[in-house]
Amino acid sequence: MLEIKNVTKKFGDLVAVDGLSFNVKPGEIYGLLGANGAGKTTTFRMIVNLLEPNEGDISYYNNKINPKITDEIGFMIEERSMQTKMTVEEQVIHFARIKGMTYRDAAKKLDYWLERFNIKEYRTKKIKELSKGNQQKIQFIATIINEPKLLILDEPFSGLDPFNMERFVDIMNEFKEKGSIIIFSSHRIDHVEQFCEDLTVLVKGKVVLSGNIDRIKEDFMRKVIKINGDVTKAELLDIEGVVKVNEYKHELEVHIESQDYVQKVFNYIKEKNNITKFMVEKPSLSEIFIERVGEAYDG
Amino acid sequence: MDKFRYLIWFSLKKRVMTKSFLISNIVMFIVIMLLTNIVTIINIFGGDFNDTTSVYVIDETNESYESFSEGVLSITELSCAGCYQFEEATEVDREDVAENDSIYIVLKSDPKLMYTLNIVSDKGVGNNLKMGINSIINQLKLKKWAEVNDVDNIGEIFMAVPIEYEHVDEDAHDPNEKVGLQVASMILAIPMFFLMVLTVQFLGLDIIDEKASKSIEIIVSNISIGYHFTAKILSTLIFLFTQGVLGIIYSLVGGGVYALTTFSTINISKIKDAMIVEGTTGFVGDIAITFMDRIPSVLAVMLVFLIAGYITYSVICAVIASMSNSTEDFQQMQGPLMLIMLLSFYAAIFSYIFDGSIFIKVLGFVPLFSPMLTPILFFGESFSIIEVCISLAIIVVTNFVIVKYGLKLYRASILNYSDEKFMKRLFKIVKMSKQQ
Repeated sequence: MLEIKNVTKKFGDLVAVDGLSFNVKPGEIYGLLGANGAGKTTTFRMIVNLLEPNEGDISYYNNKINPKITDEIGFMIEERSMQTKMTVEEQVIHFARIKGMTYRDAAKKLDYWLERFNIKEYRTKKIKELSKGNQQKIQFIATIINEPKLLILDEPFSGLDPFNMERFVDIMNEFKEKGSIIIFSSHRIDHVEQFCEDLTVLVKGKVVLSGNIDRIKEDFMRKVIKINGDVTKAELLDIEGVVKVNEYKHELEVHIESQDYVQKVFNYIKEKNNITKFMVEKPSLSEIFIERVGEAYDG
Repeated sequence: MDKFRYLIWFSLKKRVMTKSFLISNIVMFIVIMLLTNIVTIINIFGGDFNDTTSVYVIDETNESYESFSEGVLSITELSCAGCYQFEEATEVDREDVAENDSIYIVLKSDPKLMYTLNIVSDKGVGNNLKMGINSIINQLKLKKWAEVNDVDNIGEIFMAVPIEYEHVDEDAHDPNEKVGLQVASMILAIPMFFLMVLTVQFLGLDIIDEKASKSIEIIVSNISIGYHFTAKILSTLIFLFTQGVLGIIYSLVGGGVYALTTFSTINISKIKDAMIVEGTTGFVGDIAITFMDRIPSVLAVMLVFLIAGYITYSVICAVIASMSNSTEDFQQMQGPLMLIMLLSFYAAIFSYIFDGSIFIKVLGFVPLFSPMLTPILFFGESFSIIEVCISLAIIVVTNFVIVKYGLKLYRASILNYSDEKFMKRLFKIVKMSKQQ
């Protein structure tokens, strides 16, 4: 298990990460969401021990991450971290050897992954000769070549087309099935919503949202009711627990204090005529973000 | 193979398995071959380094002129073709010596040692001539001793024939000494400078290549920064030795080619006589002869200072590279270091001009200057072995401090991509290194 407890990182006066806490269990995909400068990369650098937190602890199966256990970690950084004058096989095997693999094992695994990504012909090509998308694939292969038990992916989908993104996701899910801990960041809210069970949303180093995505949505969906029928805004505002009513062309959007008031609103509405819609709405992460932060998500 | 050894091996492979390494070694091989065979090459085209010096032999023994002059000539021809011509004379003409730089050799009999020699010259006698005279006169002595077969005096066979030198110009010093010192300073300083610049540049560019591509993040997330730093320094040190050994091999090949081409033109029976100068070339040979006794200790001092100096320069260069974000950035930032290296090189090769200067002596104790300067000062006898030891102690202590604080700065800067101005960046990194 990966445990991050009250971690704070400061660069001079700038607080890059402020009191971050979360846990990721084996077989889970955890998302870290935030705009540029939110503190995602700093968090990853602290996890792989490139940076020392000023406060708090990071542990991997109760141990501090150190070069002795990094052989079971795969770390993919946001920008392409490859020496472009090297060939694909030189680069991937170099990273694999640094992770403690033998040349033979690394070469064998490289063959497998190049075949899997349909880019076998690029093995002896220089990295600089490849397209951005193919470079991204090579970087991904270099990250997973050691079959990592902890997979850290910083913006893995940037520059990928939907087809290749799906390939990446399939492989991530395979590692998830094998029990790897996967943590990835994105500035795209839809990516996180699509692939993760749990997430943390960072804004300028601070956690604004954290936990299980379904539970977060559950908490929020009980607070918004969409109604269509012969009922007025004024009537709804008189019901106990109703905080706000937004009036749209074909419906009314009722915001309630908590889930306890859903039944009260329903009891009132069912007495009314011509009710064609009563829906306790499931909000998107984006809406939740706006609700929490008070502004639209700007990834 | 563990990760540390792998990283050393990889860095070394990355330097050696390149076209630039191959090309630079081909160029180096050609240059060394040309330099070591320069006398032969010039002779092929009819050129000559030297004017012919007349050597007059006054043979008071009345039996040795021919064998003596022919023998000496065959040896001097090996290293300096056409430099000397021998003639027989009846008396020493000191005016001729002073005006024409002629040399007079008076060959006398000696009841015990068979021969004694008086050599009259204006300012001194070249080393190759000295070697030739020494070699041949002792052979003639052996031959004569065998004829006499005086078993009672067998102990004298091992005694060298006494040679007395007389300089017509009373103020003259040994001309070989100063020129030799000048040339030897260059011979010693040039490879040191070349190796130092080459390796330090390689080290910096290797680090910057990893940093600029961000692959450093993957590397140091698997290997500690300290290991990475040490592996880079060590791999470059191994490279320095590899390149140094290759340079020595090229020189030996060049010397071998020279010996072969020279020996093929003379009577093979004379090779035995010439063995003493085998493997040396005209110019280099002269210097080797003059400073023969000092060469082993100088080479030992040079090796020690090369390693010590390499550590000083490489650590500074590694820190500069870790603070840079691109090759261009690194090239700019390493400018002052290269300038210091160049100044120390100039100080080393021109140190013989300022023989005894306090300033040069002080520079010999300054860590960034001492790696190139101290071996040369020791060679020219401006530095005693005690002063060499003091200079070494200073550079060792400095290296200890540089490695300790350099590693801290390296840790703080290798993952820092700030593009602020150098001094601002430096202060920031120093501040960060203190916090670590």
